[in-house]
Amino acid sequence: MKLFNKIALLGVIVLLFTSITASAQCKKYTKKNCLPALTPYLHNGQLTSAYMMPGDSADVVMTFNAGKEYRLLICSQDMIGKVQFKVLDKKKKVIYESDPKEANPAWDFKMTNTQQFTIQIYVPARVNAKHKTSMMPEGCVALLVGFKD
Amino acid sequence: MCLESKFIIYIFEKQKFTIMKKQLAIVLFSGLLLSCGNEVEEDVPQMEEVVMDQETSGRVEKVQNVFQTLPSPLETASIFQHAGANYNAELLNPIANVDNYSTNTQKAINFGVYGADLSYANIFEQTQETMFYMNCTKKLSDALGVSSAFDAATMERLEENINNKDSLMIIINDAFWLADAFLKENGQDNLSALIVTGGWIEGLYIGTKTIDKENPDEGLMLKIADQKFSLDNLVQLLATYDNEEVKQLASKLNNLKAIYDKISEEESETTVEETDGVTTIGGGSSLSYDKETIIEITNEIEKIRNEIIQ
Repeated sequence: MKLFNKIALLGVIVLLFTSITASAQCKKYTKKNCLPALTPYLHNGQLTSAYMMPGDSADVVMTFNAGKEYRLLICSQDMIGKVQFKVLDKKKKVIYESDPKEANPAWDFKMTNTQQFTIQIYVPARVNAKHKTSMMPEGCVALLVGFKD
Repeated sequence: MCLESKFIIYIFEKQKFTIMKKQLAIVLFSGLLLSCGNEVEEDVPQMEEVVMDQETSGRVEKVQNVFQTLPSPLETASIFQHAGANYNAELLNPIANVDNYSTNTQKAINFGVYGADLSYANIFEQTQETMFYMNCTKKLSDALGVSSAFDAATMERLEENINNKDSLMIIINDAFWLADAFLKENGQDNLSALIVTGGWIEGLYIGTKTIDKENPDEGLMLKIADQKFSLDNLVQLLATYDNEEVKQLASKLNNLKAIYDKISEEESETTVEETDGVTTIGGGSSLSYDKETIIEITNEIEKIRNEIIQ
């Protein structure tokens, strides 16, 4: 029983360490490879990167203010393919869709009125999904928003 | 196969586990395998697929929460500056208050508050106040255990660029990004949410305090009304935390939201125009409100802000 508890504790420590290490790597990747691509726009001071797998998607609602110019950028590690995004207005009309051939797509735009958009991020699924296993590659994806006057 | 997995298999062989123990060990083993990398190329059994589905759904929810953001205090300060707000040092959280914050909740909220004050002082090129508020943010950042955000090198860069508003903006933003990243990677997302909330509250408070209640400026009223959207985002962000301190703050913001809900929205077709290589988005939401609602918002945000800085 004591041995089992020790093993369980060891496992939890390994998992926790792995999780913190992965998170630190994602932060490092974002800082080095993604934030510079926002220039000359100013980022919002918040870390918005996470690990995603092929086939994953996420919807995020964001506010864009009147009179400001924005750069919306998706930046991701190569091993999960070309991560794409769509921008939808409140009526769910697609107002922008990134080019599937483009890696780390970005969109620059200016707002006339303050609006809320939904940003749909999706990691393309693998073609040979038949052989998909629990060992799918996982890569860091950053959703960055920069603004300027 | 990675070292941890081999170790667990070895233990399996040596020990006789009960059924329950084995089940627990399988879960543990699966977790370790996940952390080992891309090595297995086999079809997965039905049960594992179910576990993966739950994991996927949990992970996607977590990812969505991570991606939730708000405009920075700098952006809010810039919005009100462009709408005609003037600088008034008396509106800022007094620097003497910095020593009053003893709990991590108070420190985090007021780290955000002082960050907004710092952005506000900087955007209006108030060198002396910028210095003061830099020191306040550093003090609270250190107190939260995030000393890497405003470390000696950053403070030196801030001092060197004290007369360069644009460079300061970048350095301040980078420092806040480091603090946010540090807290998130150390599982203290709740503090990160409190910082963002403190910054947003202070930004809106400063914006509303510049309004003339008798004869409010139309442009300023619109900017205050526009914060309805950011408040929606903020309330959604806070709702993702099962933390008592976050819930208390969320409850205050829900009172504010109840007033903001009096502002009605009308949707028109969103337009996307390309002129000289610049994409301009028009149309979308237009807001209807009256002066009384804006004054009510002004009073409520003042109440909330004065509570959080105590």
